[in-house]
Amino acid sequence: MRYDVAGRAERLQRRFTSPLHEERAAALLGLALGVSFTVCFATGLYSHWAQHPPSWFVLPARPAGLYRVTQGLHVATGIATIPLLLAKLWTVFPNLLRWPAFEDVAHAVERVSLLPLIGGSLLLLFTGLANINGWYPWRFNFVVTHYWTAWITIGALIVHAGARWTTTWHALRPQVRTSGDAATPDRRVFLATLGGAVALVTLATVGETVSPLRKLALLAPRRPDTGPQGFPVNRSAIAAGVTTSARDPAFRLRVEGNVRRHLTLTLDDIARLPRADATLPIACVDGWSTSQRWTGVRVRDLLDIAGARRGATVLVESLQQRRSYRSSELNHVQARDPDTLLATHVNGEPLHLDHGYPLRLIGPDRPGVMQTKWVTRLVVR
Amino acid sequence: MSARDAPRGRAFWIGLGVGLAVMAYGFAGLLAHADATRPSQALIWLVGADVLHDAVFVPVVLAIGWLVGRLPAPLRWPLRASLVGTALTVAIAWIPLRGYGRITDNPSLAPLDYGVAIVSVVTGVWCVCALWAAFNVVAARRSRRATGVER
Repeated sequence: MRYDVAGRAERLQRRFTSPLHEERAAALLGLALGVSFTVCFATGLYSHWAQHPPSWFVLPARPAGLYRVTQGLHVATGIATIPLLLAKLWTVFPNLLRWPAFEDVAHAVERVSLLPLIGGSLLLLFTGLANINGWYPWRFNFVVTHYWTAWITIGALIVHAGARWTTTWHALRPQVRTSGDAATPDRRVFLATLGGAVALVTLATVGETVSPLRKLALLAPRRPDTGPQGFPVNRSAIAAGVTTSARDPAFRLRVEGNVRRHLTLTLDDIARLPRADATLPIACVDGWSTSQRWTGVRVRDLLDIAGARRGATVLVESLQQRRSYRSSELNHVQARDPDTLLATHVNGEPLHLDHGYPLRLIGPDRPGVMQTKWVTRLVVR
Repeated sequence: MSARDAPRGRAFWIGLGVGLAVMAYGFAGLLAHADATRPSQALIWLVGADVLHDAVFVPVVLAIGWLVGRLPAPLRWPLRASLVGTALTVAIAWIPLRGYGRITDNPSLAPLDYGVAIVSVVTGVWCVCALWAAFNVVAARRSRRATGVER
């Protein structure tokens, strides 16, 4: 006897009786996800360009809190997307059981693009959540894979949006909403519940960057008021292997490269230079941020003493010997900004070893990983 | 499937053209940085996430949803909301709760007692949903009584 696949699939699909598996709920969630994925992609791209600037991109120094906002938004939106995506997948799940699976080549392409769309979305959200918690249970590099998977996923999202364009806007038209739509009360409760879920995960985590809400950040991996000197640390001095070299009396700051005279400064020399204060955020790529008052010497003053040309860029190097974040680049705008400091103090106290004692870079609108700690050399270019 | 559900028209072809180009750029980048991305590993995670969702996560949700559907109507949505809130809370705080990312030399990472945090948040969720259920039950009784009076 011939196995009736189509009949079986149709009967199985009919078992999903909830009116929430309908186009309007799917369209509303699709719209919300379109916005959240666009926000995550745009802010992620900004973070990527900030750390690996293409030739045409100059990371601005103002507004000083821009990166804090974009990266805070990236992580908060990612977390809020978790319930949105799961709800959307639940809403459209019966479509998986359709038979025939596709009608023609165009339909097949659209359905196949769901694999990278859904797989990519789940991968991005899971790896992102694990990364902000410092957990890496996979064998690929998080940053590089997260970045390229984001391109794949956003491409699949564009394919999907094009294929669902007409359906979505049709489902959102007011006449569809009011024409004896039996699903309306249930759908409203469903969407209100989902709104509550989004609010819950957001309120329970966003305090890691929005400090007035920090007491509510019960599920966040960071608290902006917890750590040495009252704020968090991304990499400790022990992890960086600098506990001895940072405290060595032979410590010197060198300013070298394309300058008229090379400088070699002791901490006493640095203490005698003009001091400057700046209140600036540390804004980590992991989504937490905190504003502190820093004191130190302006990088531009050091460049002037060394006779660097205006428009010079600066490579800031750490005592840290290993890993990719042991140095960072100051472009010509950031190097000349009056708030870009080599800080020796925070909130009036000498820096804690974990915050970069004896010298750390702090500048406006920079990712936390580029606020290089334990600075020992400026290479002017 | 309704007629307008079929992918057709200008938006479809523009989306397909632009989207496939962007996807191709993403795949090319993934392959060009194979040392870092380990494409076979990334692919296993990408497809694995799909399979795990469809084959494990969804059946569990369907089973729970079926059970909740057996309850009296006024309790269903408050219970669904409580379960969603609980599942999300545990999912978000699972990694710090288990201490997976914890590093001994950096106590500022995962600094809270996440067991207590989860219990606090979940208790709050269930309290709000209990009030919601109570409201629904009272409203349903009133509505039944009103219908009875009319008779």
